[in-house]
Parts: sequence; structure tokens; C-alpha cells
Amino acid sequence: MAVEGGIWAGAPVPIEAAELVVEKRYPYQHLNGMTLKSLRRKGCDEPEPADTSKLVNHWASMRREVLIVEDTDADGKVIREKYILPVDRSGASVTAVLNCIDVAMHAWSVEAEYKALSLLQTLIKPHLFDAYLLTGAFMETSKRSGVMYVFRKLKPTLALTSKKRGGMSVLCGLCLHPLGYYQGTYAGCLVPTDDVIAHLLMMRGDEHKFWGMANQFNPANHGLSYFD
Amino acid sequence: MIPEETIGTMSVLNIQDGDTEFNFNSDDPKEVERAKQCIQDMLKMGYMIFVKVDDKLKRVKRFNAKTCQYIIGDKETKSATDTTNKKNNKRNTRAIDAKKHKATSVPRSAGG
Repeated sequence: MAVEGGIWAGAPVPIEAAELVVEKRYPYQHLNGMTLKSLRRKGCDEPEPADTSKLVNHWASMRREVLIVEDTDADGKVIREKYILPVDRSGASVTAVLNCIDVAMHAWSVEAEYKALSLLQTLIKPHLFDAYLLTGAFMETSKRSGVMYVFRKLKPTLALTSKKRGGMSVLCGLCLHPLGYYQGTYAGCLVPTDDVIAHLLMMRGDEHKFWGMANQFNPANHGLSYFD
Repeated sequence: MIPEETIGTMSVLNIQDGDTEFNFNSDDPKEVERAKQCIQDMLKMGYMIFVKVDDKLKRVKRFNAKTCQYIIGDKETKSATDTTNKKNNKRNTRAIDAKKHKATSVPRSAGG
């Protein structure tokens, strides 16, 4: 129905736990920030209790992550809380994985993923496609910039560069989802291989724009999921 | 049966289908007009359209419905003497036949 209505990339699907983030010029803006729970609440007479807390500052190092959260208590007094978290936040990683599974069960289809795999197969060499099937990742070096990219399913693309004294170093992680994504997960509205295809096409066709549009994550940021 | 050499193809990354393909017959003015509208709407909405030219991937800037051609950026094109560029009236661009080049369209990024 979406395609017939001229919305060629389809309609994003809200899920129970993670909020949907839709690109601001894409239709279906009424779904922005929504979950299935909030959509059901829309018909409810009782308003949802307002969340008055807000994140006012945030920084990370290799060892820890610090968040400053401001909230208002019942008397209207503003309180600031400081949270110091170890970088290995297994709990948050598990939550992201569980939410991804939720997305996979309700928003994606296996048929769409198979079609995306067929398209990817036409874009990369057979041994790289085999690597992707087996590991969920493949590499390609840009002829333009010399940067080596590791394209990964359900994870930010890694940009690596060779060091003068040998070896490689990570420049950053590049996170980008066409159309929309689910907050707090690595899941985009498109199936995982379509996200990979989008990164690959943008890197090959307009590398400068790819870097300009992607969120660039510092290697110290837990979001890169180096090892999991 | 429509000859293959008159069919243009556009593939769009799609949520429900993975990859939706639509074809247009370049000999049919209505289909070409529909394709033109779709492509122009996509470009206006920030979709990125890519075509493979000379073994390199190029980004489409515009679509010329009269000649059924994609207009791509091409830094190697000489703007002063190239007749194609004179017709397009733009520097460093090149027109390529939409029937001979399959395009892939990527929706605008929502960040991540």
C-alpha cells in the first residue's frame, strides 16, 4: 500500500519496547518517537505520567562513561544526579540485543532479507559475499581515500587507516540508517543487509557525503561493539 | 513484448520487500513521465540514487525525461568543449542513458 501511494521505501513498523526514529522528511512522522505501547495509550483517557528527567551532559573514556541527569522532584526542586558507568555495560548491550530480536520478529521479514542478500551478491565479489554470510561482515578499501571499511550487519561500519609504522588504526565507527531506526538498538527500519547495502553504495558513490551524513563514533565509545 | 533495450530499471531499498524494482518503457511517454515524477520526487525527498558507469558508482543529480537520461556528476568531463555539457548547461556533469544503466535508490538517512 505504501509503494502504491508513492512511498517507495515502505512504511516503518513500530515495536513494543524501542522508540521509532523516522527521518524528518519521510512520511509517517506521526510514528516518530512511538512504540506500540504509546500508540495503544493514545486511545487511553488517563495521560501518561510525564518524564521530567533530561540528560544534560555525557562523556566517555576507555574505562568509564559519565552521565549527568537533571530531574525535578515533587516540590519543583531541580536535582542533578551523576552516574558513572563502566564501559562494559553488559546490561545495556543485552537490552539492545533483545530489542533487536523484537524488531526482527515484528518489523522485518525474512523474504526482504533474502532479497537484500541477492542484491548485495551482485555488488561485491563472491569471496566477500561468502565472508558476509559466514561472519556478518566484509571489507572494502576506498580507491578514493585509501580508507578501509569494515561493513557489518547490525553494527556501525568501521573506518580504518594504515599507520605510518605499520598496522591499522580505527578512525571511527560510522552509524547511519536510511529512513529510520529503533532507539537504543542497532536496528534500522530496513532489514540489516539493506542497511549494509546503503553504507556500501554511499561509500562507493559519494564517500564525502557518507561521512557527512553518518554519526561518527569515537573508538572509546561502547556503541562500536568491537568485540561482540 | 517490450524489447529489453527500451526498459529502464530502478531498484529502491524497501522496508517490506528488501528491494522493490520498478521498470519503465522508454518508448511509452506515460511511463517515462511517471518515472520522471518518481525520480524527481525521490531526489526532492533526499533519496540518493546511484548508477554504475564505467565500473564506478556515480550519484544521480537529475533525470532528463525528454532524452530519458540520468544526469550524473563527473569531474573528469571537460566542461568547455563537451557538447553533452553544453546541452545540459552545467559544468562537470554527464548524461547517461537510463535504459542501459540500472539505478539503485537509497532513502535519506535518519542518523543512527
